Amino acid sequence: MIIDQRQVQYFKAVAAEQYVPMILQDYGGDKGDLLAFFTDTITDIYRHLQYNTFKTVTIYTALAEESFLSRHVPSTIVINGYENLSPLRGDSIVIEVKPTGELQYLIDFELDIGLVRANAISYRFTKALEQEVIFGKASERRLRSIPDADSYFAIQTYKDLDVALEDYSTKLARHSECAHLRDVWFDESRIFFKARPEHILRDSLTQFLKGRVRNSEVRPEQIVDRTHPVDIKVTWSLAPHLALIEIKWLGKSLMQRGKSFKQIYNRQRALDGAKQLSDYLDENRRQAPVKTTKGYLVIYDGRRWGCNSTTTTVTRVNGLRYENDNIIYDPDYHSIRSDFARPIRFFLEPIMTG
Amino acid sequence: MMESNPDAIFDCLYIGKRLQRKINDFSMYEIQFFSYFSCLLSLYDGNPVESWNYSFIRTEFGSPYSIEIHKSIQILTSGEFLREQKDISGYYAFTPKGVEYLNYFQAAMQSISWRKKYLDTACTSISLLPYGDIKEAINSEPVLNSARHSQKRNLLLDSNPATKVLYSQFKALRTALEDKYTDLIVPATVWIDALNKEKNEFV
Repeated sequence: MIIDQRQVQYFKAVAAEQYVPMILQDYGGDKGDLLAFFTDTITDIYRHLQYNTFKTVTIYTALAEESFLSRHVPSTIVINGYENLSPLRGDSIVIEVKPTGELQYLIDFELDIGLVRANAISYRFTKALEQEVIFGKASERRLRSIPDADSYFAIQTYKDLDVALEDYSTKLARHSECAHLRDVWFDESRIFFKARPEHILRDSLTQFLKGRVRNSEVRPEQIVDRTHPVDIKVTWSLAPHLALIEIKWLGKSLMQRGKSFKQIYNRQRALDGAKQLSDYLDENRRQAPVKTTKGYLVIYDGRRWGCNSTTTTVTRVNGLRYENDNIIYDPDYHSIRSDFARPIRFFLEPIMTG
Repeated sequence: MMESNPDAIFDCLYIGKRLQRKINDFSMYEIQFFSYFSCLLSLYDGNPVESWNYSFIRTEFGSPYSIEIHKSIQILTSGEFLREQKDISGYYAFTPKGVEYLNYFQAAMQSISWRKKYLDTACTSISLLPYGDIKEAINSEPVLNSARHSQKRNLLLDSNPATKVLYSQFKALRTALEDKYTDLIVPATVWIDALNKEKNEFV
């Protein structure tokens, strides 16, 4: 078989960026299980530790006595249950994970990684940089940032789509906490959308659901029939269920400051979306009668009060004017048909001046 | 009484135990998915596809599926080795009897122990990489990706050009890693990252 040298180079480049080969090369090929134990322990720690209250969180496991935390400080505190991490507060925390699962920690102590890295697998979260790093003996690998996740090693998964959508609303959409949503605005004030933001909103929600809803396949822009593409389709594998998600946005979109708005969408847009979804569901019933289908209308609400196309700042009162302005649907499809989920509105906050 | 496949029964128990430890429970889909991933790792390691002792097809949604795994979950559930979770259907957890059975199986069936290396690596990957990354990557590997655009449902047939693409990727991966790593977790995690970064490059 001929070896594709381009592929070889590509794999080499990927391996050079990854922390797993670095750790096994630096500390020995037999450290795979220890590494998995270490990362599982980070997951457990993040379930309890209020990590965001610390400027730095350093977690490491020593491979030799000279890297024990107790060798570098006069005294450490031993903790046996993860739940005891919850009340801990301070500027920085260092936690040593023992192979037995025991944790030793010290608060407000900045561990110099250079002192232990020759004989320890180490991890550090730095809040100011929103950065997670795994350290090898002489180099380190930065972990990819995952929007809304506590850590690369602590990403919440969901069995229930409704719960996932709720969490997306509060943890991610509200403050535009992902690259897609940060890119959806005309400028940093988040008062107006950029022109035609639909696909960015769809990609944001698709990416979130893809990595988190267990048992499912999440696909953007799926055709229900020749004339009906739905924004996102979620199918549950090996189960006769599917969800169709229709996305609409409310607010104003702008291409150029001072020029007229590209689009202005108000509550009528949401009502139109509900009608559209109801029609999709009827069509889908004809196309896929054996699947139990549920339709979800998702509204991204970026409405602001008292803003024209020259507006560059918004007050708290005007920015949040529509925060609790729930839309009354008529007809209320959710009440009259069992396959129509209660419409969901994600209110997206602007950056406010006062 | 359904006829059982001991390899598939063992794989369900072993993967189920590992997944339960990591994410509290497991579904039929997840067992199917991780058994397929384990089979791919066995191919990477040079074993022929027949040695896996059960085969896979793609479902209508393009995910891997083995009737042997399906039957094994049914056998294990009806025998009360596994129980279906009460809060939401489609998820399973071990009963104490199931834990005992797995321990017995591991001790009694030495001929099956070679599989643990591949099952372990597939399951360990969820400790090291985001769960969604693994799902996305395996769904876009050459064979599944090709099957999604084909009428043929059997996966991993030697006659399938996509299987040849898969073997070519594995060969390139082995060359890239220069056989430096004895632990399969390195090729597994590098391959997953590579598939996600350049989903459309190879197929």
